[in-house]
Amino acid sequence: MGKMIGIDLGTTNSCVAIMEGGDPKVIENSEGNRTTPSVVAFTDNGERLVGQVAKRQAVTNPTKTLSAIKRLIGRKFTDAEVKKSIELSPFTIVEGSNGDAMVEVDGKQYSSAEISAMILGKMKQTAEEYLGEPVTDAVVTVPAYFNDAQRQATKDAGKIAGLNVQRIINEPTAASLAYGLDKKGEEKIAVFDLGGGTFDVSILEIGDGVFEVKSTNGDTFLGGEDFDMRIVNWLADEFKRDQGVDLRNDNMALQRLKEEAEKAKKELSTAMETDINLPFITADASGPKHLNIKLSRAKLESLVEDLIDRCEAPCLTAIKDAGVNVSEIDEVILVGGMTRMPKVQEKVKAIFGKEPHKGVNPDEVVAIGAAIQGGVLQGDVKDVLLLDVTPLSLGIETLGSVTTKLIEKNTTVPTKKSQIFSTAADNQPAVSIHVLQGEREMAPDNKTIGRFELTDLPAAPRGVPQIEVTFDLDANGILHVSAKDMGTGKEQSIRITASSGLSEEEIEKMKKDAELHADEDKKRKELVEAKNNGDSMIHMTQKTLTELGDKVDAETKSNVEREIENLKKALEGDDTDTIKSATETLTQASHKLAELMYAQASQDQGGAGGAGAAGAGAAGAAGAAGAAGAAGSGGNDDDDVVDADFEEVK
Amino acid sequence: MAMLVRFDVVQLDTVGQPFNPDEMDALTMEASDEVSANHVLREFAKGYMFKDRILRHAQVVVSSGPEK
Repeated sequence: MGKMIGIDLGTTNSCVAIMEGGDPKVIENSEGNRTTPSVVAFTDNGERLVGQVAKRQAVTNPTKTLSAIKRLIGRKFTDAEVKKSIELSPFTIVEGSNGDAMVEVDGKQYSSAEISAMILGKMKQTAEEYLGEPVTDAVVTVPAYFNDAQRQATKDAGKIAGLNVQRIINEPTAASLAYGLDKKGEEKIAVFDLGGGTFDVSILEIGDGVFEVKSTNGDTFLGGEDFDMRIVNWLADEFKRDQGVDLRNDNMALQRLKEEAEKAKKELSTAMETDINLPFITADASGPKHLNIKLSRAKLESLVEDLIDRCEAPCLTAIKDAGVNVSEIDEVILVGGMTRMPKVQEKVKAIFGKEPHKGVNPDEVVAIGAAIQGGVLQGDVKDVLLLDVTPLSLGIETLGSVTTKLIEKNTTVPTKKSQIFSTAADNQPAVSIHVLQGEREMAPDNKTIGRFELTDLPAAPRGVPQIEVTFDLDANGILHVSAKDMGTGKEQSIRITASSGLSEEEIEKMKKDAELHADEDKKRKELVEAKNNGDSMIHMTQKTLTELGDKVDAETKSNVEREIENLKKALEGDDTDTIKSATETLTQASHKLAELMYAQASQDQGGAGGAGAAGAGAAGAAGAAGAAGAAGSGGNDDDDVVDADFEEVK
Repeated sequence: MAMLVRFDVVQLDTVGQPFNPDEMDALTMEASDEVSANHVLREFAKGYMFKDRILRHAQVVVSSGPEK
């Protein structure tokens, strides 16, 4: 079995880590960054972009650039959260045939799991490039409040990406794993996670290497981006007051403002004051205008005060739900880039009455925890056992549309609960098991996550048949429900997957699509490489030809020139094989030139000094341009070529 | 510049080229009669490349084609 990777699939950014020699390590992506934006884009020519590349082209392609897909995963189109996303998103969110929220690009519908799979695929690829071997197993994190459908959809996303998701763990659990490894003894921990787009707070209990999530709360539309927008608005207001121009109407100015605002915010986490300097931000009849405004930390804090205050209520609710006193909390962990802000740390301290922990990079701590969990599952990390809880109560609908809870919220998973139910009418032939998730008393107010029927009940007066309903919640928080008629022994059961909106076949199909796409990507890459090789081969050969001048006999020259033309023609097309073979032929032909060059060089060595200098100059030029192979080898002919380098630099 | 070139650092040539998110960072789009759609209209900050790696992405304004 290959290495198991840990992935933090975030709303705005994702991160991947592995265990290496007993220590967790975050892997840099191909662009050299430790986190990757969770953005997917489709270009006009059908190419698929993921990560930083997709983010960079976002303004040119807003309707086909998908971001914050995590807010849609495992949700129905009618959910309040989806409604809010629709308002905020420049791309189209539609209702899928199964009622799921889906995105539509170029008339094609994609499920949120499919889009998430593309991001997971990119993280997988990042890990594979680093490890140099295929990766098949992963631990993926989700927010603690994710319901069954959302967890299942995240798992499906992994499957589509070709990853066997060994375990779904809660983000706060992962964060405390990253911190808690070496700790012993009983502790209560609060995890305060303020990221790019969401805010979560969780209370956990750790003891003897056992992690238990006691409660969780948060705000899914509060994060660093809201802070940035406050700065942008303030800058635009200031500028309007000074110059009378509203930068909010100028797309480009707005984009620059956003970038600068984020930078200023980050700087103010360490500095007390920063200069926001944007020359040529806009222009009017009187000429170009520049923006130059000082922003102090105090001013920033006053701008975002209410945003920070919004963190307080969820924290208090979480503490209450966990049934603990603030004074009982031993440690506070900070997660998410926004927690670097001193004011946020102060707030955390005020709420929990403790200095928060900040030893591990808050952007990476969740992925690190996931990697550690991967290590635990593979047996690399010992003595850590992980217990998660179900965030919402699970139950079934009973007489009068009442929800009867079988598994209460915050119950440790895995868990199994049974209860005996009976019929509501005389001679009732079947019972319908309507599985619900939520805290409300009445069934219609809760979320339906599954429904099935137990039929062929023998005729009996109401209340006589005994039907045992069993809820089995596994370690991933995924539910299996079964109903058994105690009289006949007849049994019916479902694994709750319907709610994820994707059937096994659909997942299989998407997986195939994704694999197909991987092949396409590989082919495209090969083509680009072949083209580049061909290009540089032409360049090099032409250069050698010019350098040798009339020292080449006409036949060789026309031969080489013909091959160059052939390759040029091949390069105009998109056929990798043709390009490769044309490049190969040209390489063969150019070997002749190289032979000539060597012959020339040895002649020069024995011959007049003047000719030697000219040859050295040419060889030096090739060396300076960094050309390898035939032309570059000319540089080995004599010591006196070294000086030529100087003359070539202009 | 000469010094940069000597160490294999080259400036990216963007204006008039098709927009390429691998090398460029799109700031905004603007209508243009001269530059065809999805090609770079103006360059805001130059991009640089060291061998095959991007040091800094060029910040560009991308054309949205002629005004309708």
